[in-house]
Amino acid sequence: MKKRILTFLAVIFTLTASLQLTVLAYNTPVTDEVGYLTRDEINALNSYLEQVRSEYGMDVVVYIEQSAGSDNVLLRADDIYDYRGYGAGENRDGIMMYISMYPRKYTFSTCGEGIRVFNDAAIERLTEVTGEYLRAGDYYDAVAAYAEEAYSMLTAAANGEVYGYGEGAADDYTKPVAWGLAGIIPLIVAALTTHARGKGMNTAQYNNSAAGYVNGSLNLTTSNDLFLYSSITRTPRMQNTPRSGGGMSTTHTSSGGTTHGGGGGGSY
Amino acid sequence: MAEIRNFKCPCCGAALVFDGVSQTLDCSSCGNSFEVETLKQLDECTGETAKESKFDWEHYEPRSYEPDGEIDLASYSCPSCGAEIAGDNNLGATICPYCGNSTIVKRNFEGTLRPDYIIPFKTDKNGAMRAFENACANAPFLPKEFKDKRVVEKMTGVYVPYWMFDCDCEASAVFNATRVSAWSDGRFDYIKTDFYKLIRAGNIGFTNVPVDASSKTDNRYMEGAEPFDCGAAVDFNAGYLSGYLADRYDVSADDSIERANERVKNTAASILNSTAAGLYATVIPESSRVSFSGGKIRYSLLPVWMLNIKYMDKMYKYVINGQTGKVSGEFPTSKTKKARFFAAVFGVTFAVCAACVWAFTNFM
Repeated sequence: MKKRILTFLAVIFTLTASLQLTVLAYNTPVTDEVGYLTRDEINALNSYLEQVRSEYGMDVVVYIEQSAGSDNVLLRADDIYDYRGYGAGENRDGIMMYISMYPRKYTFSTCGEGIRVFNDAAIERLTEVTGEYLRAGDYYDAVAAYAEEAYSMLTAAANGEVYGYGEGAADDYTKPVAWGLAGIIPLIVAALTTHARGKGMNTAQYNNSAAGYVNGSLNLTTSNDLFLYSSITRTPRMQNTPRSGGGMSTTHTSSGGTTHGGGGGGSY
Repeated sequence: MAEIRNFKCPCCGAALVFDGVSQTLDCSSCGNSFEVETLKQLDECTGETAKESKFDWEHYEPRSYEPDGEIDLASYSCPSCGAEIAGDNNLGATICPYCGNSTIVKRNFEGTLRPDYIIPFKTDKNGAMRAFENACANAPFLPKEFKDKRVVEKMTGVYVPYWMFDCDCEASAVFNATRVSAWSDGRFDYIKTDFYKLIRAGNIGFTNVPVDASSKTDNRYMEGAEPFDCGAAVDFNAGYLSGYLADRYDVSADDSIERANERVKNTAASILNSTAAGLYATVIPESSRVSFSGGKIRYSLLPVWMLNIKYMDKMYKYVINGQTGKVSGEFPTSKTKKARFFAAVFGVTFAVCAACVWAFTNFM
């Protein structure tokens, strides 16, 4: 009897696990828990993004939810990406557009090959093309614009032209700024050094200290260090991962320990 | 009736409310909690240091100088700057050590006030000149031709009048200090700043804090030539004046007290501050107080060499410590040398920055 119960439990466990795996493996590209999109819009987007996945082996997904639970929507997006099992292949290649109703924020999370294809410049572009629609409340247009732009970026990457290639950190505005600083910093250093050295030319200075006339040493009678309070500042760890010959991708680590890229977005 | 005390939050200044459960004083504004005992101590100590400092000097009664026959003194007066200087009657022709005027008038000695102490000269004229040459060598932008084209007017050894202040003071100070620690986990960088109030008090003794008692000498020059080793001071004897000039004070002890107070208070706070050195990331003074009674004032003569140098139609004055040879004064500056130095530093720094920018723009 005991053996039968154990066998029954084992079968139930195996079925449940395989069902979970099935759910993970067959997550549709668009999930809308809020109702921003109609059923027809979701179906149209799903069919488009599944085609993108089969063509380029990369997940391009959308997740819309009621509440992010905190202001840090990027970390929430990473967690959803990890726990829902998004991403194609061993490296879980893909990108996810995340929209939260509370707070009214959106962002993008990338993983695997998606980090390289959807680099910082690409994320900036996706933010640009979707932001206006979101602020206007045109959620379908925003998601459709994201899907189309992501598709064209994947197409370009497949042709060896990753978006932002050759621009990276040293793009059009960074170069003049860097050279400007290269001119200004030496000026400041030279002025300060010359001024400090010039002080040696005038040794007639007031002496506000009487340290040379202290008799013996200090007899300390009270020494009390009173702790008042502490303050802790917490900033997300960001790593700049330079890509050979291409744009930079800023990466960070999710709570599950997976490396993600992305960011961008903002309030809408 | 029991005394009701209101504590204010040391962080934001809002009123604190006592929490009976945690037995702490809590701030509803910034959310911090404080131990009652900590705030009581803080209140007492900040109240103490917020009081005015107490500087209590004994009155100085000047003593008249009576010639004892050891040296034949004469008075020299300068019609240009009004200096009245005593000196050896056999000094011969001399110039005014303050303004360089050579038409100094010699008169019969009319008496002066008797100093308590004198620090005799330890560096002779040659030694003082060597010290000056060393100072020139260390002046970075000194014109090359300064050595050849300068004209050394007469170099005079002068005993300058000083008020010397002695006191044993009780000093207390409150400082705001912080300690910073940083760590990271997989997702975040953390910076924790702990805020402290440091309360320090102690006894510090000062001996022979000098304040220039002559209005004719620029205090910048005189303080620039410090310190003097007052351990070498001896009871005044007119014999030490032989071959030198000696000025008489024209700034009273009462008028010099303020400067002495300032130097004593600054030094006391600085010494108390040094007890926290290395223990905190930042230590910023909030308030300090010095208190003493029966501070002593004495009248002394300290030795300096006054050197006037003419260079390119301009007079440069130098004061050289007659004990240590320390030189105080302003040297002429070569604009060419200064510009060359500026260009060299700019060139090297620019090369380094340019290399960094080039690497950044080409390899990133």
